[in-house]
Amino acid sequence: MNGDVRDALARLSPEQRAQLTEQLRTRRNQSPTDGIAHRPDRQQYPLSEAQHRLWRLHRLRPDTPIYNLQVARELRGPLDAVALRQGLAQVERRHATLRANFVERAGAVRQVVADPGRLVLQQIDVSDQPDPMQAALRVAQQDAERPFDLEVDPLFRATLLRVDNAQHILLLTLHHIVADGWSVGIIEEELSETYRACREHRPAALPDLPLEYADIAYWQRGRGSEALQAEVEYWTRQLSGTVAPLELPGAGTAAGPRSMAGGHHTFRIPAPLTATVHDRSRRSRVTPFTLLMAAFQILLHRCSGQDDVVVCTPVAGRSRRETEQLVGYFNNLVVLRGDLRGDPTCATVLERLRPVVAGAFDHQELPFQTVAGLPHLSTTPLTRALFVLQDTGVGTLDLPDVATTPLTVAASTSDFDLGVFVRPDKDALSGVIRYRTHSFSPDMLPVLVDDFLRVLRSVVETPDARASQLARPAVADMAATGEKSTQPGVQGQKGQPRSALESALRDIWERLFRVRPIGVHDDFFELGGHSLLAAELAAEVEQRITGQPLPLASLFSAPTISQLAELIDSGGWSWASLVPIKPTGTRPPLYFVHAHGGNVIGYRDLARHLDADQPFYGLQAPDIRAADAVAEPRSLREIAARYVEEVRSLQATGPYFVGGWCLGGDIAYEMACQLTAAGLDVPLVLLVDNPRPSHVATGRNGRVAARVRTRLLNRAVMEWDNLRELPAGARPAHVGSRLGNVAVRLLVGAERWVASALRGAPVSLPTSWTLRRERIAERHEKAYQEYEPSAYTGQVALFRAERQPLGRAQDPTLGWSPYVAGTLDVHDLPGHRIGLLSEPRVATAAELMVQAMDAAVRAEAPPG
Amino acid sequence: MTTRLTSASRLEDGEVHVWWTGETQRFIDLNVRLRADEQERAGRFRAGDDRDRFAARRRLLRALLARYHGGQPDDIELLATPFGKLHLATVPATITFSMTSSGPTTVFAFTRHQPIGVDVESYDRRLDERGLARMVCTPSERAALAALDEGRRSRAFFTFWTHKEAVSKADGRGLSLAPTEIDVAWTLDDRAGTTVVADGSSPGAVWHSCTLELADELSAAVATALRPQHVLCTELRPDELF
Repeated sequence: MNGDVRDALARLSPEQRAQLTEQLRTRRNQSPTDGIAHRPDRQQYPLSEAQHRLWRLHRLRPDTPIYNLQVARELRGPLDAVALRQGLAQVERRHATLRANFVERAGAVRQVVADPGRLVLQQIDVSDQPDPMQAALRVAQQDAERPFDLEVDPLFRATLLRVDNAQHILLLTLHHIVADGWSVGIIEEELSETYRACREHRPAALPDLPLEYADIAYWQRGRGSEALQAEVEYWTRQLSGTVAPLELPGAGTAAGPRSMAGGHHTFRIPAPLTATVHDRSRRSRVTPFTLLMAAFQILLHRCSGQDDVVVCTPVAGRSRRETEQLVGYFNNLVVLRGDLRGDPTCATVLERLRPVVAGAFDHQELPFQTVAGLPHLSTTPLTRALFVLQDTGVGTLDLPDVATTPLTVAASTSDFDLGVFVRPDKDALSGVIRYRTHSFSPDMLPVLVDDFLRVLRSVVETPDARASQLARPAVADMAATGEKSTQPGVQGQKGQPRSALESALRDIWERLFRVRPIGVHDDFFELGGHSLLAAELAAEVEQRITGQPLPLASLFSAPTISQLAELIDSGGWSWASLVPIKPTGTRPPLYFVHAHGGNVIGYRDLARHLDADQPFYGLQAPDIRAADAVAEPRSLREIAARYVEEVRSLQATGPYFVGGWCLGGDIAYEMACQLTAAGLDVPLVLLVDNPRPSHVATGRNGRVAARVRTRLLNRAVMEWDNLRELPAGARPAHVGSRLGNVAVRLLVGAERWVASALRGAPVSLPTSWTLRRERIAERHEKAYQEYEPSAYTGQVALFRAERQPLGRAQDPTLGWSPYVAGTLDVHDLPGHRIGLLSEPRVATAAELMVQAMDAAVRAEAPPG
Repeated sequence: MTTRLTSASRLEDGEVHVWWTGETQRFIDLNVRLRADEQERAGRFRAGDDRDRFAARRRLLRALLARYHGGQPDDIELLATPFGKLHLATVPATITFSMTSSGPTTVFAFTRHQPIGVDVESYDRRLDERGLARMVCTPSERAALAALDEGRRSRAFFTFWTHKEAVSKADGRGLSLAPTEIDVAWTLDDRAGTTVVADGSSPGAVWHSCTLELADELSAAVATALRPQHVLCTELRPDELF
């Protein structure tokens, strides 16, 4: 090319150059010789290469949620759920891929497209929860982790959570085999238009789709291998020589399959630094992504000392124009190999990275698995670290009169050891780090973020600084166990258990190995463990601790007590009932039992307001989480016995503090009886407004009409008082949510009617979340009515609402005095019973409880 | 089945050779060099006995491999898969092997051209078979156990376990392959037979396993992809090896 053109090109900004490249590429792709043909609508078609890979992986682990894509959007403002539902249906109709299932017949797997209409917008109301937002996030997490059955399930599901009247959360969850990040953007863009169109009663103005994903799959199959030969050669050259696996700061070196248990951590790159990043990238003629990637690679280099730093990034995989509007799994991963040999300056790192990034994007068609399968790379893990800068170009939901905010939902698994996802957020950059707990402990993340920002600042402000001159990252000295060591390899502690779970595990290990003492960092295999012992260990852990099977393979990824404890805590194996709402602190733990509904989310406020040194655990009904909650009915004594077992598995000796609201108080009382009968120390039982049935029944004399009137009156008075104690601004929302409660009750009634009408019919209704809750509540009501408390000789503190419902007996002990032979102290709390343990009154309750627990301990101590 | 193997025995196609000892530590002084990582790993064992046995096992393994593969024991290079399974570094690996130990007992099994797995357990302690069976046995295995007298259940469980382990080691995934995917209820009636493993990257993988009679207090099994024509089994004698 002549000098003029070269100069002109050199003057282009990176964005302009990218645009030009794109246009040239598009023009090239529209040559008639390799256009993709549109096949007429078929019901069955082959899988693309990428889909095949996911299919094979799914066969190995059908229950993994790790290929689920979920976006969560918080929507504030008036939302038309009907229009939303119709809008989603239109989107589903447009894209055949969203209706695909994957069926294996005679050894071959095909995509089968179902007719439109399977997508149901599941609507869930959480507004009546004590903490609706937390409840919503929990539902979102469960939804993100619910696996898809590729053969029969719709692979696109939508859920609308009602937090209150003007606040919703929309969850769109897909399996990666039918969609990628770009696809979700398309779905959101199209949904924005179809929603509007439905509200305005007009057809949606959406572009025609000349091709389907199926056509791409056919085209790929027909393509010869020469088409990608140039790319194979590029990647073989680019990744030649020895590529060492990336060493992450503090990562363990366990052999064997790693656990995919994960966590996440959010962070921000503030606006001023973001502005400098943009400025510096313009001046260095690189994209902001390249600059951020350079900083990330320098950080990794400084932590590990490796000169050759391998980080992946996803690419859209849609270089062909026809694919831009299609929903489907197109994206690919490319490997960016950073060269940090010779202690380069930050500017040099950038210079070296520019062609690497350009080359990667120019050769992004070759499937990542093919690159990873190149002969010398097949045993090298290339995907330890991922870095993504998400485009503004990707569509987001834009509904009229509604403000949309993306939400980050916790996931319990992570695809990568370290995944950094950054996106523009007005003038700043927001980030989420998703990591594997196998490689990082949670307290390393804030330090990692600080280190990254420090490196980033150096790259933009002092580009001539050499990598070695930058401050050593603090995270490099942290071990994955979370302890800062003064020298690498030295363990901070002596291997003592640091939590009740580690203690419980240690007991099991010591018994099985017949060795004492065992440190929490001792390796199972180095202690002489073998597979049969592993099976015995797993069986004991299941029986005594988790109540759920522990896969034997977990000992490979978590071969020490410390790692096993972490795996159990974070990996989806948890106690059936114990919920560690606030596990930290040195005081004896307080265990609070669920009320009729079975869940303990409502106790979070209480946990926050108790003493900072007070550990707090909830005990929830085990079938709250089960997919099919049809447990056999149990007496209150049996329920309490199970909870006692679980508590004792965590805490082997006393003192034990137990309590609960409403039904929870009854169960806690029974637990205290059983614990005391076993010779254990229970300084105090905390009952929170739990009247005995006899006490409630005294308000039930008289005719039905009179009773109903009393109930309505009670409720009206209570609602009015609760409303008045709120600040004015919060009242409308509160009213809305209370009215919503009524709607839910009616809905539940309707569902039950339908369910009983359908009984015996071949069709079965999926049990909605609310209906299941009602069933759990019913069983608990029965247990409550039938319970006859034993006599108790210990100390009991009863916290009751001053404003009791009208028409009840005047007994201040709510019917408990006949049973408590020890001391029974009654404490009055202001207001009505509903809202006793929620903001704003929970602070008073918490204070009184802490005082009562302290007093009980003092009273137990021997005099003098 | 018990043709005695000697140092002159060749490993023919279709044969499985099994060498074992109940006193692994007697071979600690074999003159075979351990690699640096093996020495380091030996050092990490808590118990001195475990340390000695680990070192002895690796030395024995090299000595035996040299006999089959050719060359000197010191030159044998071993690699481990991500699942921890050892194999010869040479490509292609015509000699395949598996190794297992339980306390002072070690068993080595060798064959040609196909994956192999071996497992041994000693009946040296009481197990909670019911709890374990619930966790690792298939429904038909549990039914078979329940039908036995109390006194025979323990041995039966060990038989099940060693066959399952041998198969999962032959498969290569070890504990990562759930024992409940391997049904060996047939082992109560037959010493040798085939098992189809449902869960696998090659679905419907078939493994052949057979019980090894080593000693009264030991339960052992070896598994291969193809049914062996002969399984030859011999106790190791220190004076024989060098």
